[in-house]
Amino acid sequence: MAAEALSVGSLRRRSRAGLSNRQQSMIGVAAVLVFLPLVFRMEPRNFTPFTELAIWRFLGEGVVTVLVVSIVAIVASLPMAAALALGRLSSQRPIRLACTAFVEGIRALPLLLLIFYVFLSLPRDLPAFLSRETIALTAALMVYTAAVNAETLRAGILALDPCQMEGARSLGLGHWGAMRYVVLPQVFRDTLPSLIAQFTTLVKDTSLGSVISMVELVQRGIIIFQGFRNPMETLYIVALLFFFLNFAMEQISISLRPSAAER
Amino acid sequence: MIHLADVHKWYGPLHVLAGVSLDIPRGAVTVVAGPSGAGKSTLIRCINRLETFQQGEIIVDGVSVGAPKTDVNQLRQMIGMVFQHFNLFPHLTVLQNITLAPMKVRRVTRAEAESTAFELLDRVRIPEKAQHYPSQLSGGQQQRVAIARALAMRPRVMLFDEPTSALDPEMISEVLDVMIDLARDEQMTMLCVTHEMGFARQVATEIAFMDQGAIVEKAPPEQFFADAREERTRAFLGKILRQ
Repeated sequence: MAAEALSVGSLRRRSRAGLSNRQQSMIGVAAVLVFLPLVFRMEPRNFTPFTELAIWRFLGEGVVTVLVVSIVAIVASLPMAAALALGRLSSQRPIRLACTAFVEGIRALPLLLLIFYVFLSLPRDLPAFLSRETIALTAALMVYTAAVNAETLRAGILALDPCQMEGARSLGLGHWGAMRYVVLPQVFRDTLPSLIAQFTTLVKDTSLGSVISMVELVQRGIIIFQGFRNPMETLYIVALLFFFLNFAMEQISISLRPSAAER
Repeated sequence: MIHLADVHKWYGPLHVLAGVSLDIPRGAVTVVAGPSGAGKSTLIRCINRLETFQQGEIIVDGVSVGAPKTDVNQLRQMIGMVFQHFNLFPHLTVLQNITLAPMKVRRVTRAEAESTAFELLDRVRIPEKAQHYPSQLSGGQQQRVAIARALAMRPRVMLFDEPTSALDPEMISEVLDVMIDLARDEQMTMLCVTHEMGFARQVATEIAFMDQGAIVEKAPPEQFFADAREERTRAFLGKILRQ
């Protein structure tokens, strides 16, 4: 087991060229960022609106919206995903059927429809601190991400050596105790890359909020370029902002990753 | 302490336990040996209900293992189990592996659980490894941690399911030494599935030879090695003692 952990660890850290995975992906991203303006023939003068603070404040509000919606949806989706995964593995037939139907149903729906449905089913007079659109978008993203990640977690639970469950049960831990302290922590660790990939998708999917008239980040970009007639350049800036949001999330997830010894 | 009466188990048409009866008094050490596929592991796993059985009775310290109303989690607290592949939790340190169950099941405080854990690590002779992760230890060390982890629940019975068969030869004795120490504790009742006949000779109260789901013969070690009754037992001993 120790030898295995070491070889996996060294595979992850270094490629043959001597660059770390992270350096390689940075080079890739930088290349794309440089190529985009060239390929799409962006013009430097079309970037002049972005020298104004007001434009940045306008976009900044969009970034805040994306951040709030994403963070709430991600944090809330995790326990729900775990509950759905455990539900699908339950020995109780009604629970298993209900969770299976829910997961399959939600995953089969286009996210766009889900956002509409949640929006339309919310009551009109909600407390004022959050708009109806924000709540609908957050809830839809949360439920959708939970359904997708439930499958990832379920696969992780099934893939974990049954010895772990037996070891925990043999000590007198109940089924739930064994799940909570022994199985799930290892499953989260093992499936972290897939979970993060889905979270990245979630961050980008906040742009679907525009269909329920939310003025999120992409919508703000559209408003700006309709005024300045510089769609390429404005959307490039919006893309950069999304890149930095997801990059920051990736950095956080790397810091959460367990050391090689814990594997 | 452990009482098995006519225990039967079927996997579909396969009769893996065919009427096993065995009595292990308090403080005794019983070694179960036999060819692979004899049902030794299944038998030991039935005792803490990691496996179910269909017929017969198993009673551990007065508690019927098979009875539907028996609380399995309570039952397992008094039965420590050591597995062939250690089954340590790789995401927890050695110390956390040992303190998890006492803290979550028996609800002892962290301080108390840790002081017990350090005592046990002393007893299994690796106090310096408390903050290491299982993958940083050798197989022998991992198995000793697994023994400490089982002992932390203060069980009255210890089950060993081929505890040394996944180990490199040079690590077997460090695990057996710990088991021998444990066997000398007069309060501890032990059931070991093992092919370590040296260990059996040294500490077993009784050795049971299993084949095809049944106990063919049982005897104290001197008699078992010098003068086994059954031909199958002698053939088996001939094979494993030759090495």
